[in-house]
Amino acid sequence: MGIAERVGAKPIEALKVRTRGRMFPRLLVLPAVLVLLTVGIFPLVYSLRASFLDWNLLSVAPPRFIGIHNYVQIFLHDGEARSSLEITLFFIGSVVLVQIPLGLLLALLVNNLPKVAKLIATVLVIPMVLAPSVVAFQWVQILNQQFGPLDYLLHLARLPTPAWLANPGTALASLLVTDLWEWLPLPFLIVLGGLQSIPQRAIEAAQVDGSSKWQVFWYVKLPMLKQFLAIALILRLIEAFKNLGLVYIMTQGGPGSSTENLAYYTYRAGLVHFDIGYSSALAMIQLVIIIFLVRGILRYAESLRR
Amino acid sequence: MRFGAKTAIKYLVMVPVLAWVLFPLYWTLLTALKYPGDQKTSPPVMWTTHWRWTNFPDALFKWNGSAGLIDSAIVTLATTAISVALGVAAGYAIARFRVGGRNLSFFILSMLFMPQVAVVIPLFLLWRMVDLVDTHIALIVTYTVFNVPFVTWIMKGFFEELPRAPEEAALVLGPRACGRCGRSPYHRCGLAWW
Repeated sequence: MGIAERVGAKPIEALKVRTRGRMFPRLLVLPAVLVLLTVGIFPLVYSLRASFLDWNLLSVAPPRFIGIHNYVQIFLHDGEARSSLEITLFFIGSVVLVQIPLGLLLALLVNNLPKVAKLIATVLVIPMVLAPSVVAFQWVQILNQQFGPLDYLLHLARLPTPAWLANPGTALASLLVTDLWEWLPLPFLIVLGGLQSIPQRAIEAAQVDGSSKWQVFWYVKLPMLKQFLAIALILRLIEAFKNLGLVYIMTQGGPGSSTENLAYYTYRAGLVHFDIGYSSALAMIQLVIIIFLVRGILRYAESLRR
Repeated sequence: MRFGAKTAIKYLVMVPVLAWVLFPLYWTLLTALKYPGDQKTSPPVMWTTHWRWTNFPDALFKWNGSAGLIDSAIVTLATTAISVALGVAAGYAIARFRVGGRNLSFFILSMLFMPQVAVVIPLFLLWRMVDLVDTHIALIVTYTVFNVPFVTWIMKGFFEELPRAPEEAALVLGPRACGRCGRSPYHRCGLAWW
């Protein structure tokens, strides 16, 4: 029972009355929205327009309006676009099936450790704070078949020592492992924060009722964690979808095109072949896919709040 | 300290996890201290006592790493300051007052989705128009566009979790009451005063 209610006004009403209408909150949001509109919307609109043109920076012909021809090309005739989408799905799959569950498990594990061990666990966050290009470069060195420590250690253990980044079969897996190494701390941290916000009373109540540890987890902790998992999922999903740096530094699309994800293909079309129209169309498609994905997850997360 | 089997297993599991996280960092640090002769060897040198400390000042001054560091520092500090200022304000407004409804918050979030690859060329043209190519400002604004939504969204989540009671109390009772509310943040009191 807020004091405002006792005074007789409903909470939202009190806020409205006190802040003289809706101006103040709008003023708070204004600077952010202004920046985003000018510097964010302009490239978006520009890209959208470019995606309807046949525009190659390398040719002398001026940009020519061709409507949806670029999109038709991409959807119907471009096998490479399709395979790059497949590869992007691998990245996303790794996030959803490996990174988030492992982050959850790790958070559960660390949450139950005493304080000293928790301090040590802050070391786990380091990979996340490193610059992605540094991480990529670091792993290229480690995965090197001749000079890298990984294959050397595997050799000592009499395990196979493939050329991780040069072999089409293992290149994608190596990228996924590097991505995992760098970003596992994110879901771990978010879920850990979520675990610590679970009221002890709920857990105790369940335990008093005689629930096993598994039941406590499944019926009490997990539902409260769902919104945190959703946040972690959205953040990681967006990043994994857009991930260009990793591919660019480590494999440049990989042996053949076995690690060429959608973002890298878009980069190649736009900044290597300079076909701006085509790459803008690819980018628009990416944007639409991400928007749908995230909207779906957000709707689900919001429905959990009610 | 009771050391049952369960605790032992927990610690045991932590060992490979820590090794997994720390090994690449160890390798990078080791390589940073290696002499050229030790660097690209096969089999690789896993540990050495001949440390070449000059690698560090060399990186900064001979290979001009300090210029990069300073640039990074400037851009990062400015971007962070601006993003946090704008994002906290926007996040608070959206959380408490539902400005713009679901659409505005999704619009702000969707700025994160933009594939940077698509945005690079138009942004370059934009900076060329205002003659700001190759300046710190161009980088700062570019990064801000991607960071403000991030901050806004996270702060929105946090503000939604904060209890409303102290805020309502501050609003109704005025700024003097802020002391009695306990942890009323400064801006809440500012809001009440306004």
